[in-house]
Amino acid sequence: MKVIVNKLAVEYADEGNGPVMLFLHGWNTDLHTFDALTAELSRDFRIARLDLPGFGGSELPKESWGVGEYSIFVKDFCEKLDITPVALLGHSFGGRIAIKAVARGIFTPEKLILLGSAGVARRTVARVITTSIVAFKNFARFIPSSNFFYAKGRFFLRRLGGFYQQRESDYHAAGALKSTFLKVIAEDLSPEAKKISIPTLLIWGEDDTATPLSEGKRLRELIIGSTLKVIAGASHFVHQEKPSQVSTLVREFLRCL
Amino acid sequence: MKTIAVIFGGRSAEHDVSIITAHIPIIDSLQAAGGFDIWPVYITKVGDWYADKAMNRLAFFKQPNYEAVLKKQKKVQLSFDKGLTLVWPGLREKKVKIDVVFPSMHGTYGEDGSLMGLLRMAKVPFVGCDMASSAVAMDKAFTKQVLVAEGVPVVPFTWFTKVSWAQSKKYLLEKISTLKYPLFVKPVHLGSSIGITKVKSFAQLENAIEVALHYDDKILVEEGVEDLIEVTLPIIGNYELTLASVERPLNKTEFFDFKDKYLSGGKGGGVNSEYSEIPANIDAELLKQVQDLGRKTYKTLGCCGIARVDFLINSATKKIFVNEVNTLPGSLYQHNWKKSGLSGVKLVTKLISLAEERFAAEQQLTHTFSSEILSKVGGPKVQ
Repeated sequence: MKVIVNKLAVEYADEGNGPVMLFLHGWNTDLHTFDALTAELSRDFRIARLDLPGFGGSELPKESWGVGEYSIFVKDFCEKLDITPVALLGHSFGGRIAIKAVARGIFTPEKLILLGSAGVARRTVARVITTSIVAFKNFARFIPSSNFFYAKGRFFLRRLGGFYQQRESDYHAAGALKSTFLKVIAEDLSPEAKKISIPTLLIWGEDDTATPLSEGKRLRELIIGSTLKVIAGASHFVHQEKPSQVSTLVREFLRCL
Repeated sequence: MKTIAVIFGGRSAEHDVSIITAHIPIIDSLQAAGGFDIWPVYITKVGDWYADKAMNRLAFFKQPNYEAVLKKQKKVQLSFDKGLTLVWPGLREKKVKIDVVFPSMHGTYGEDGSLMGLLRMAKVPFVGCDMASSAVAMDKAFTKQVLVAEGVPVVPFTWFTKVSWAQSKKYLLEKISTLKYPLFVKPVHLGSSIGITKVKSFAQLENAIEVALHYDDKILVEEGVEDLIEVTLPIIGNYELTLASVERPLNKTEFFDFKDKYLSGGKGGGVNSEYSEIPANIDAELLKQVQDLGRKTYKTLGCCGIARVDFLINSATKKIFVNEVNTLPGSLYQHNWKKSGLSGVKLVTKLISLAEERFAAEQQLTHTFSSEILSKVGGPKVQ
């Protein structure tokens, strides 16, 4: 189903009955990333989820956006549907939006759930990798792919591990959102995370390489009173791989709503 | 050897579907038939025209950089001198005279009669419906108004424009309140279910109208049909009509969306054949009524060549409603024609002969007459 928000056609789903939860998906996915989790939770909650602008069935933002623009857009989406979420759940990039929205008071939910959230990678590492990607991409444009330097450059960046590979693949797939992608990943949300004072549940896949468990631990330190739950045998898409375990944790966390 | 121009692409939301229809089955079947010199004429999303035989292969459009490849080529121009001629201007000017045009364009600036008007001006035979029927069929509100006037059953509906919604929202909401929920809100000019919303309650109505008006400046609000069976009937012919099988799309979603129609079909060019029942398993009386209403609708709108009539049936009351008419069915509904005993080759060659038949009949009409009106300009009667 579609709705027009700030002149953009947005694909969304609104299911279930009960306290309202808003789900925010990660980069390069869409609202369907939460299909299994929604099936589990929509018996007790009304779950609103949308394809963020530029993803799935939603139209592209008319200019490049940062996390702030996405946060405000999501707020406008909720106003359009006339819903006030009591809990926000964000995965990866959706976690960035949730962190910023709650820290800045754009949303005032009672509780926050972050799944493999992005946004608090160590500043130096994030900067090096972001700068490497931009510099390397700009440099590589002038070099045939068979070129020795290109191959060596890729080899060097790959040695940075899964994190770089995820970033590289996201950057490639970003298409018209490339400048938005660079804007988004350049932003360190640690100062914002420190401002969060509502009960927060952090759920991490033990084998997450895109946003490693170390970032979950960092968020736990930054958000006072937050709880970190680690799910064994799960990766970055913990909600797709272990929907029952995630929904049990969420249900437990939201029990008193 | 007849020279056929297959025109496809264009400034339409269904641009890519048009490329598929042009190749599967039109160009593939024309090549298989033999005896045709086929010129693919491709209109880009911004309206530039190119013609190059390399585009006879669908693979050309699967290249990620095909738009960049085209930009290096010379654009083709059209000449209307004694028919239609493709012209590549320059020092070594090249010309190709076209005998018959096979339009393969879905949606705006093609299927809506725009291209047909151009081809009428060029005085060249072309496949499929003419300008007037194409224009009426492209507007879902016009289609229903014409059909209602001729006694063809359609579901209760109302329509309005973006301007009237802005000016008279209250009045229009009152008008809509006479319709029974669930309602469907649709842009009148778009196909493939783009911008359509099923509205179950008044609370959802305004958002759905806003969505439809995002895509079109004229929209339709109509009643949904309970206990719904959807069927569709492809038809070919000018005067004597040939009916394909009545087909029932067994879609899983609440209505056939863009992906259901074009992307989930697998083999056979995209149109969803795996999820269709051909022939539809409905009782004989309903089947006959569908066929009769299909013929009547086709004739009422003045269709010729090919069209597809879509129906909504209330399976409890056995009431049948004509929903809409598609003057260029995606992939010509080749999968249905095949099951109805007409191969792709026979289908396209038949459509070309129908185009020539209609063109010949059109030439028999007298379009000019002598008059003294010019000599009387400035006289007492004409001022």
